[in-house]
Amino acid sequence: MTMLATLLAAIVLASPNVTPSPYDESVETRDESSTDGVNDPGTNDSTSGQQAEYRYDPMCSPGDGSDSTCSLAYNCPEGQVRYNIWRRLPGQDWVWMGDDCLGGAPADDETVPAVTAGDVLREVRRLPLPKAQLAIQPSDRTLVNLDTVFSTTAPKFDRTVTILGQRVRIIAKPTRYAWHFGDGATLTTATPGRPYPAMDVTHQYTKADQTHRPRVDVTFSISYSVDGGPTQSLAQTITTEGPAASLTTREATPVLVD
Amino acid sequence: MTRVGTALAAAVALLSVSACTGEEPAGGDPTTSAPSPRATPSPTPTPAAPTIPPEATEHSADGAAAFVKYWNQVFNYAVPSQDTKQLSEISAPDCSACNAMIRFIDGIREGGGSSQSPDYRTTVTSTRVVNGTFMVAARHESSSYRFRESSTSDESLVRAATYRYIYELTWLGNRWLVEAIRKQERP
Repeated sequence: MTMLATLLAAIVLASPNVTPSPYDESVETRDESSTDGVNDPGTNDSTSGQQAEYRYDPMCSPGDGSDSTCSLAYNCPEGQVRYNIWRRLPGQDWVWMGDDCLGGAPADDETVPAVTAGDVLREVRRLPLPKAQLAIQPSDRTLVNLDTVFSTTAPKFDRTVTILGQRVRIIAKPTRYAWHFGDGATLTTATPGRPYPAMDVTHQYTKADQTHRPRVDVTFSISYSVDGGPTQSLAQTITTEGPAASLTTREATPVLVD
Repeated sequence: MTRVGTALAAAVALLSVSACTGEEPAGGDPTTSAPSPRATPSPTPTPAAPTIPPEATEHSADGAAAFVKYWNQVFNYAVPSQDTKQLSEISAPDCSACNAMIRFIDGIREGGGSSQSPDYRTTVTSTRVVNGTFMVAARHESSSYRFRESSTSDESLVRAATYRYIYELTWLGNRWLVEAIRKQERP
């Protein structure tokens, strides 16, 4: 092989592999079977050999929305509402197919869209869950090397919301309390603690003249029921971080009195 | 100049052009190419971590659109810097696409690899609301870029391309979070 040929071969060998974007491959794709767009409302299609479901969510019902973006939903002919159209193959997530103006409400015989755990989780995050206020005894200032008592009131969350046109009751139950005492120490309990004289949750600070920012984070388990149906639980818990209080530590000095 | 010297100059010029344009030289076969030299892909200057613009913190359609642009600025920063902390903070824990991207970047860092920035240039084409979830359709034009997954792997080239995604955003009461990213095949 001549030197020139060797050099050119080296150039070829040094060329990089051309590859699809690894980030694009990370993004979920809709089903691979067709690019047929939106089928007729209410129909199934089986272009991939699997039955696809469709559902329709009004972007915003005229007169019902307060969000400024509702204006996007109003550019339909008189009497029609703009719907987002979703499609799902068995075992897969809903995929947005586009939107369309349709006359009035969807036909009665259309399948009522299922409220999924993901729908509920998204709604809970949007609401969002309450934060726990910390009660400290003694409050504001405490003494080092003595028990300081912490407690909170179990936050309650019981709301009924509308998801995909169905009434969904969501109940969040506190299941874990993570106490952050502000000096690096933490404690996890299953109960919210009680005020003094109970000593359920206590902590002793060791350094005087420090200001700490204790707080309590609450982890909730979520259950929900759709249109009065059976109660279901989300596998995922949600934790809310409580607001920090302010607590200064002092050292007690013995004083002789007459 | 001798014939060999001329060839060498031509080869150097060819390599230079290739590096500048990011295009594969003719004859390159991705399936048969041998390991290339272990040089690190020419790093694009790593920009400073982006700061969130005020409009991207507003609970509105414009705010959602601004947030998607910001998310992609953070992505453009995370890839070459290999710093995924900020990207994680603005992505939901169960956003599978976000997690896959973050894992890929983390994997490059942990393997001693490197990457140029995809340099996504983002245009928001629409923003819609479905039951409180904001759906932002966006188009990204990327530059061609090179990356090496680890210190021992071959260099890979991703050609310039256009990607269309739909971002699902959740409003947490005081800020946005990317809940999901899906491909948009029918904008």
